[in-house]
Amino acid sequence: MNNNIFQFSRVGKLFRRTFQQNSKTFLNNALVLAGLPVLFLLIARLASDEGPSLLFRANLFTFLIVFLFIFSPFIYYYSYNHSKKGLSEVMLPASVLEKFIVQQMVCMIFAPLMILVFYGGSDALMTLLFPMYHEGYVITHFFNNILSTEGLLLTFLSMQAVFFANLFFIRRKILKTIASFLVINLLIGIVVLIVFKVMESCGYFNELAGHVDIRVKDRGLFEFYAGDHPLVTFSMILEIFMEIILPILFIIGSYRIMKTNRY
Amino acid sequence: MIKIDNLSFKYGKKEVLNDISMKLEAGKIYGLLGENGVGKTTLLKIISGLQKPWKGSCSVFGEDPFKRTPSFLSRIFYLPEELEFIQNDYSIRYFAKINAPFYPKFDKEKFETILKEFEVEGDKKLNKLSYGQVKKAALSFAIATNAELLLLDEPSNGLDIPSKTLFRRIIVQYVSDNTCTLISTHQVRDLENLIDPIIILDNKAVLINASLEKISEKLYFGLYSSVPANALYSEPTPGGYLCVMQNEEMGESKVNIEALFNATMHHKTLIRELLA
Repeated sequence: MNNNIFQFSRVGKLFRRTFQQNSKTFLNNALVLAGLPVLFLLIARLASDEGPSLLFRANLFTFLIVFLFIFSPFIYYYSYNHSKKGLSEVMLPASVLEKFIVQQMVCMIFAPLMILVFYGGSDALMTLLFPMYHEGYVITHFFNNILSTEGLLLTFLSMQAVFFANLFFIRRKILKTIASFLVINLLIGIVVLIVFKVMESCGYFNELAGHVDIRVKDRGLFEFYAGDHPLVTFSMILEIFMEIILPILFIIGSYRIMKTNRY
Repeated sequence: MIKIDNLSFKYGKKEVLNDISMKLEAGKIYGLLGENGVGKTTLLKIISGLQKPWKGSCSVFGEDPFKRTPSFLSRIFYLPEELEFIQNDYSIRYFAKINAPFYPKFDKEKFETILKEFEVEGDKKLNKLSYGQVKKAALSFAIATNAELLLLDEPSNGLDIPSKTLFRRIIVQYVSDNTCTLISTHQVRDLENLIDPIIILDNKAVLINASLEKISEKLYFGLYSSVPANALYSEPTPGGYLCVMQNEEMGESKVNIEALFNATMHHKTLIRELLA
């Protein structure tokens, strides 16, 4: 492969640089994450005779993992497109593809892994040390009862949207990103409403007597059937758009911005 | 090394550079002079690949800088006037440790030597250093990369007088012989005895791109008790007037860059034609 497009040694150097550059942030995050289960146990023991419930710990774990996963581009690469601060990244001798891959991997793998290892690890340690107050393991609970393909795809979509917004917006990124999310959701809501109205006016709901069994989640993403109600087909198309097409568009858009951004 | 052909650039509707052409060669220290806002920084940004020309072309090492390929980026170093990119929560030594692996010709020994000569505290956090210290730290790293193209935007800004003298000496002493150095400044006195050739940008165009030898051949810089009638430019100095005139077999004189700049601003067309 062309030396100027992709080279494993440069990717390795970029990873090393990312970890060296953010070592303090990583260390602080690790300490906070590892300290949370200990803190919860202490607070719960001081307030009552029981320890923090598994449900509470698992919910918090899920919130943290989703939050850090989605907002990791802001945490690690906030200044990338800043006209002055961003020069240290953009002028670094590595290709845009290499920088893009490293950034994606840090956000997609490293950020959630931090929580799994430090929060999950600390929580597991508390369970091992104090089983009478600390019931079960959040990691096991998370993987068995919370994690779903649907949730994963939606979180992935959100992360790619934030990754794109982090490159697209230059100032007041967080505010603009939240505003954009609201506008996009509103637009999707309007489209859904319009489609419903059109279907209604075409008489598609007449024979349904107010009930339609969609259950598209039980199907594969591309599992269309000839006899499907138009509402089912529309729901599946919407799902494909949200979970496949939109993330791909965000990925292409982010790469394009990185490639052509001017400083 | 650098070839610019009929290059134009706009920020929105505001035209900054208009149809400029020039060639820059390896092994020279170019001084890019001009008043504020004439497009010096923009030109450096285009050469370094941070901006894209609106019209015309810019080629560096035979390639389009805006492609920002790793091989291109490892051969150049652009040091902007504002140093926010480097003002981090770590020292310049740490900055060098994490960034040097990307520059194949980086010379650690040279880096340490320049740091020492500049008297920069190499282990102090960059965001705790003064602006002048950060500038010297950044310059040390830039020179130590041994880049073939060194682009320095207002490098003497923020340096105290001894540091300015030191800066000139360090550039001469440590910048590799085959490096093309392009220094943009509006403080021409800071770069006296350092830059050659001289490029003067004005009103979106290149007025001069000439060596000191050629300038001295075409223009005469002399001290007179009164202003001669044929003086293109004069300014009072202790002991008379420093005058710039066309060199009509008057012999060689030492080019005063500030006077050259002011003379050029007063007689743009004439001096442009003289030095073409």
